[in-house]
Amino acid sequence: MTSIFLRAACMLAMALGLSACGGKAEFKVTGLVSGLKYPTLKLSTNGQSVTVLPADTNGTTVNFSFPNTISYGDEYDLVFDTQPAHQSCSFYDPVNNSKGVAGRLAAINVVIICGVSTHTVGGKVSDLTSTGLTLINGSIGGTALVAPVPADPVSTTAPFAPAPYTLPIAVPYFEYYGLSILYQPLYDNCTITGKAAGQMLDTDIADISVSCARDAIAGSVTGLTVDGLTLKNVAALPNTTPTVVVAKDATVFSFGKDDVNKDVAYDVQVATQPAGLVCTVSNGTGTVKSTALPISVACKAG
Amino acid sequence: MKSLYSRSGLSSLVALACALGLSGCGGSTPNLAVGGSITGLTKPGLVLKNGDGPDLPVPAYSASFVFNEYIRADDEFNVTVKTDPTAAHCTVVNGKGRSAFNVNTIIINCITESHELSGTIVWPDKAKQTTDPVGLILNNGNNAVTIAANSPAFTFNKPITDSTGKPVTDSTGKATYSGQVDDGSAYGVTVAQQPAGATCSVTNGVGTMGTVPVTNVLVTCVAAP
Repeated sequence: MTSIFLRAACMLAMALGLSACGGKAEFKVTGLVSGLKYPTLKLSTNGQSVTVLPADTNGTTVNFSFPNTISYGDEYDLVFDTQPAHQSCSFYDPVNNSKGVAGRLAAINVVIICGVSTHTVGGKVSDLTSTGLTLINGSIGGTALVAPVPADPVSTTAPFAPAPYTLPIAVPYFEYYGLSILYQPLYDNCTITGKAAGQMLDTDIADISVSCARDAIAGSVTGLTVDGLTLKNVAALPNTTPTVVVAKDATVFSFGKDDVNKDVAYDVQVATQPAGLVCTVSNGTGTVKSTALPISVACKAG
Repeated sequence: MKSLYSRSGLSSLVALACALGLSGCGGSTPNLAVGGSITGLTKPGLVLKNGDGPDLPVPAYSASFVFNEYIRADDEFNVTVKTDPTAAHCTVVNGKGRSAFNVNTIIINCITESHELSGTIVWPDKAKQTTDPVGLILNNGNNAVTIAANSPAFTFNKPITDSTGKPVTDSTGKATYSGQVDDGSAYGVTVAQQPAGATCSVTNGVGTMGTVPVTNVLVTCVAAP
């Protein structure tokens, strides 16, 4: 009879989390995981491991319990063996909660919080020569203002390097994203040439290409009956003077689209007169995309 | 002299008590601030009032406010919204009470008006459809809608329902929606997934939401080669 009473008392004491009942009190290592949406989270401590599966894709809180008990006074220190796919989980309190000594508290209850991994959306803008390009990801995905990047070293053929951009708000796994041009830059017309929209997977999207083109400096020509006319843009890049050779009977001329300076001002003048003719430039100065009058070149016998 | 001393002694004692935020300073100098926090204020034009006191204009994006006028301990305060911001509505929580200390527990919650983003879809002639054009997904950033085959229109509005699936209505009994775009926010409609048998593109898909819904987004689908 006595021993039965003793055993019952000890069980009661154990239920209350007390120790020193002949044998040591035993503790289950338990806890909860908040925000778990994807398999498979695997935890271990004291030579045991437990697999925690999500309740649903909404991340409803799930409980876990290690299979075997540990004894009063045993140290426990949980570690992540495997993180769930597309998620990153961490201990709510890695100092006082996920490790400790059994018996310090009545029960061991480890809190784990999981968040869905996020990845950025970005890419490169080619041939961007002016400021103001504004990219968005829908209404709440952030805004990226893309500035032109001067080539280094500056060259006449490619005065601007591709301009990288990244939207400031990263997108969680499996959420949709869609890149749009909210505002065009001052002097360029840009279009999205890459795949603008989709569903985020496990890596950053860094390859949505945007390409821009600027109106070339161009104008009309009259009276050019012989070869030999060369025009120059003296307001082009430093130390360079782009030229264009205009053949006889041409009615139009056009500089290359990169043959302008970074302030996008131009000043078109005659570099070489054709034999026997005198050509004069009208409205030769201005800025690209300004409302300046169209450039015209008139040639007549000199 | 004596009475003067004692009077000034008393008044400084009262002032001290008031400065310490103690009550019972009836008739003393007003020295308690009335203020609090603001959530969701993205629009200009908010004007607050405390009782019959002067207006307090609050700039857009403010997260807190405090009236310029102090009140006395044990004074009543009654903070109300005199004028809502442009295209937003603000409500006051804990706006009424009696001061004992500086009042900083008033909360102004503002919600910017939002409007529907919607449009029409032009599909290839039925005769040119090699297959039902199923699977078109349009999105405005994270908000995606799956479009049924040959559906002539789309909206990003999604009815808000409770846990039993019943539509949630606002205080005026109108249905409520998620997926609307705030007044003043940008939007950009893109094709997240092309449908089978057709290729779709978006025009009028980018802009900034104004004071009325946007209904002119046009999705044009042509038969895939």
